[in-house]
Amino acid sequence: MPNLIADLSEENGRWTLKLVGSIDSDTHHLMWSTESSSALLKKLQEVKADSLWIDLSETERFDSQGLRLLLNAHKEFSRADIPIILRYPNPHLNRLFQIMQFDRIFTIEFE
Amino acid sequence: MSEQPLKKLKRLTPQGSGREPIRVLYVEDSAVIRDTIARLLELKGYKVNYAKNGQEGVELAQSWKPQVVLMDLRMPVMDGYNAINELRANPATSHLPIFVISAWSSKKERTQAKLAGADEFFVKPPDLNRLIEAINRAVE
Repeated sequence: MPNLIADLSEENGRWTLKLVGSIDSDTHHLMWSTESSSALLKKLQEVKADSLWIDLSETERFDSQGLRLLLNAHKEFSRADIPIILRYPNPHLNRLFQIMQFDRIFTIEFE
Repeated sequence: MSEQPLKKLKRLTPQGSGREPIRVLYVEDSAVIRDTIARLLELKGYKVNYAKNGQEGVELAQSWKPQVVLMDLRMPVMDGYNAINELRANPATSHLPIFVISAWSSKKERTQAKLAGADEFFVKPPDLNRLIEAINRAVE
């Protein structure tokens, strides 16, 4: 059974995708809560969302393909003027993001 | 008529508004490293194309005509040393600035890269500011 729950929710106009579990080859297809990042982007455009917050507080790990999916989404969402903000990565993920210089690509918010 | 919202960000090319962005070819077999560096450079206004090994890199350097080449060393099919040799041996690409970006940074690697014809050597992950300075300096 895939070890990931991707939950998209809205509160006071803020759209949050919460990822609980691990992003790996078994779960890439679940990561966006829809069939793809493009489908999620379309949905957010329809509801006129101005950003997407990705809650990583309960995300254990990202494999390299998962990181690529994030990068591709960044490109796609930037073109649509919908920034992606990463929230609350655990220390391991934060270190990974720093090594990969993701902190120079994404806005990352800490607890 | 509805008014279009203003874009939040106005992106300038590294050479300034109105000019063509600098074309950077990145030869790297690791997809995640390639995508990350490419994205970082794109966000700074560079136009980035990539190849997955030295052979593809040599071919793309001839057809796409980059202004700068970023080259990994250890890759399948053709490694970075041989790719640099081929680029230097071809009059169409011999002039290109070539910067090695490698996880292997021993004196031996650096010397071999220099002997092959590399202009600069960066250790992975490269410092973006230093890399951008080097690219801009090379293209000036």
